Amino acid sequence: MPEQLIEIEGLYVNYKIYEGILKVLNDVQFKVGEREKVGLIGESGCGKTTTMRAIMRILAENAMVPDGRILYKGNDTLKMSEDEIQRIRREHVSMIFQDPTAALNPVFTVGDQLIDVIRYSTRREKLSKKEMMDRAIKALKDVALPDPERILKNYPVMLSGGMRQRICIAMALVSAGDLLIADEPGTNLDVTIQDQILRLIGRLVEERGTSIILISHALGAVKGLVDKVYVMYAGNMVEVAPTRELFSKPLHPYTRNLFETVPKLTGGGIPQAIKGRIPDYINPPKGCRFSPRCEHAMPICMKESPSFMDAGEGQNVACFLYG
Amino acid sequence: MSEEIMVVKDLKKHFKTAQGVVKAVDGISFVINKGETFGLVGESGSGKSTTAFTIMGVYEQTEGDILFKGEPLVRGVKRRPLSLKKDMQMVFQDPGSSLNPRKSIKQIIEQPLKIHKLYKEKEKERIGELLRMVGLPTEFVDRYPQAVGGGEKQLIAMARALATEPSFIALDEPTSALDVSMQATIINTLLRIQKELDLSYLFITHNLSLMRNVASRIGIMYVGKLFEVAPASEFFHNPLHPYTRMLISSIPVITEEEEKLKPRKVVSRGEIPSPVNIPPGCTFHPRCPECKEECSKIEPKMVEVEPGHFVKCHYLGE
Repeated sequence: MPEQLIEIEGLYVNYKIYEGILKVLNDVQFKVGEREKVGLIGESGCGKTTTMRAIMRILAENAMVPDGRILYKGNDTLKMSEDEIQRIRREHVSMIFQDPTAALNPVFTVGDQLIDVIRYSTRREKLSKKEMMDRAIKALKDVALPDPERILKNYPVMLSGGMRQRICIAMALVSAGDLLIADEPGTNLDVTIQDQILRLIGRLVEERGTSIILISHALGAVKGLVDKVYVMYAGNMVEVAPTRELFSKPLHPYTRNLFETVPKLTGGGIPQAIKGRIPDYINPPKGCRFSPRCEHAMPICMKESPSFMDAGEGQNVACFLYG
Repeated sequence: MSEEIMVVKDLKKHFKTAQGVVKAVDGISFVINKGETFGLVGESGSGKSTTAFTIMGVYEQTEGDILFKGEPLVRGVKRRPLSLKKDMQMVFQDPGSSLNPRKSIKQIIEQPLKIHKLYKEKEKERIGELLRMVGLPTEFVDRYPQAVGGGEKQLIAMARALATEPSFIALDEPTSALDVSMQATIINTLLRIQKELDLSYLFITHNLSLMRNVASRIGIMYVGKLFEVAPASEFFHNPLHPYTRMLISSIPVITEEEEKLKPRKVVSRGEIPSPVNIPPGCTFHPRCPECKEECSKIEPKMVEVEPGHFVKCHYLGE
C-alpha cells in the first residue's frame, strides 16, 4: 500500500450565485498515493475541475467549503496559512490546464515565463542565471521540443497548440515535486498530438516518480495511462477501481451507461443515452443524485445518499444495488 | 447502383494571406450518394470545414466543380437560386454561436420558413412538428437559446436545418462540443431522421470512433488533400495509407475488441505542416514511417486499389 499523498475526506464545495447556492461537491472522497497514477472521469459540469482547484486552493472567489478535509501528506491544506499553501504550489504540486493558450501569457516570451517558474520553485537552491537557463533548456528538451534555445525566445502565439501544451507540461514538471494535476491535457488537440502528449506525460511521470491526477472525458486516454480511476457524477464520486477492473466490469449504473455511449471503433451504432441530464445544483435531488435518471432506482435511493461500498479487488461503488 | 447526389471534382480553395497563399483545399474529388453519410476526417487544419463551406457556397471555390443532383453549382452563395439553398442545409460546430441569442426558438425555426415562403398558414404546426422530429418538447418554442442546454441547442440547429425539407445536410463537427451521452442522443436523432426523410449527409468530425458508427463511406484529409477514401468497414478493417494507420492506431479505446481491431501501433510523430509551406512531393512524407526517397519529390496519385477503395500513396497503388 503506497503512502497517501492526497486524501480528501467528505469535501463539500458550494458556489454562491445570484439565484442561490450551487451545492456542487457533495461528500467527495478521493485519495492519491505516492507514485500513483490516478484518473478522474465524468461529464462536463460534474465537478472534476472544482475538486482539483480545491486541492490547489485556487477556487473561484464565490466558492465556499462548508465541510471536509484535504490532507496533503497528512496536513490539512484548507487550514494552512497563505505561506504554507504557496510553498506547496511552488515546489510540490503543479497543474496543467486544459487550454494551453489561456495558460501562457501572450506578452512574455516562453523563456521569461519558464524561467520565472524555475526561479520561484528553486528559490532555496539559489541558482545563477546560467543554471536557470540550463534547466529551462533541459526542461524543453525533456518534452521533446526541437531547438529549445529558439523556443525560449519565442512568444506563445508563434507556436502551435501541441508545442504550447508541451511548454505547459515542461513548466508544470519543473516544479512538480510530488504531484502533477493534468486537467484535460490533450482535449483540444488532435488525436496524433494527444497521443504524443499522453505518452510524454506517462514517461516523464514514471521517470521522476511523481504522482499524477489525469482528468479527462476521453475515457480511452485515461485507460492507457493510469492505475486507478475515479468516476464522478454531479459532484459525487460514484465509483473507484483499479483501471483494469473498472473497464472490464463497471458496476455503477452511471459508469456502465457512460461506457456504453462512447462510440466504439468496432462500430455497431451507439446505444441510447440515459434520459435527462446532470441535475440542477441549486436543488439537487434528495438521496443519490443519480436516482432520477437511474433505471434501477429503488425507494431508498430517493431518501439516502449511498456511500462507498467495497465490491472487492479494490473496487468501491457508491450504489445501493451493491449494498 | 445508388444515385449520386453530389459530385465534387478536383475542388480547390486557396486563400491569399500576408504570409502567402494558403492552399486550404487543394484538389479533392469525391461523390456522395443519395441517402448515405459521407464522412470527412482529418486533424485540425486539414481543410475539412473549408470543404464543407465551399460546397455550401460560403466560400467561392478557386477551381473545380461541384455537381448537385447533376447540376453544376454556381460559385458563391449569393448567386445561387433560393430553391437550391432550400435543398442544401448546414449544421455548425458550435450551437452557442450559430443560434441568435436574442431570438426565441420559435423565431429561429420560423425564419427559414418565412424566407422560403413555406407552410404559410400552418407555420405553428410545422414548428411543433420539427421540434417533435428532433425529440424536443414543443414548450421550447418560447424559450431563448441560453435557457436550454448545449445538446438541446444543437437539436434546435438541426430542426432549423430541417425546416426547409432539404435533401442534403452538411454537418460540421455537430457533437464535438458535447459530452458522450448528449452525443449519443444527437447522433441517434440524426440517423433516425436520415432514414425517415432519405437525407444525404456530409459528416465532418475528427473523432474516428464516432465516424465508424455514423458514416457509410469515409474520406481522410491531410493538408487540403484526400489520402484515402473507402467504405466505413473497409476503412477500419483494412486501412492502407500510412497516415490512416497512424491515426487509427492513435485512438484511445476502452474495450479489448477495439484494441484488437487497431492496426499495429504506428508511433505518431511530428505535426501537421503549415498550409503556407507545404512539403514537396507527398505532403505527409516528413511524418511518414515508410517514407522513401521518391516520396519527397513526386506527389502520388489517387489510385483505386479495390472497388471503392482509393489511396494516394506510392507504395500501395501498384
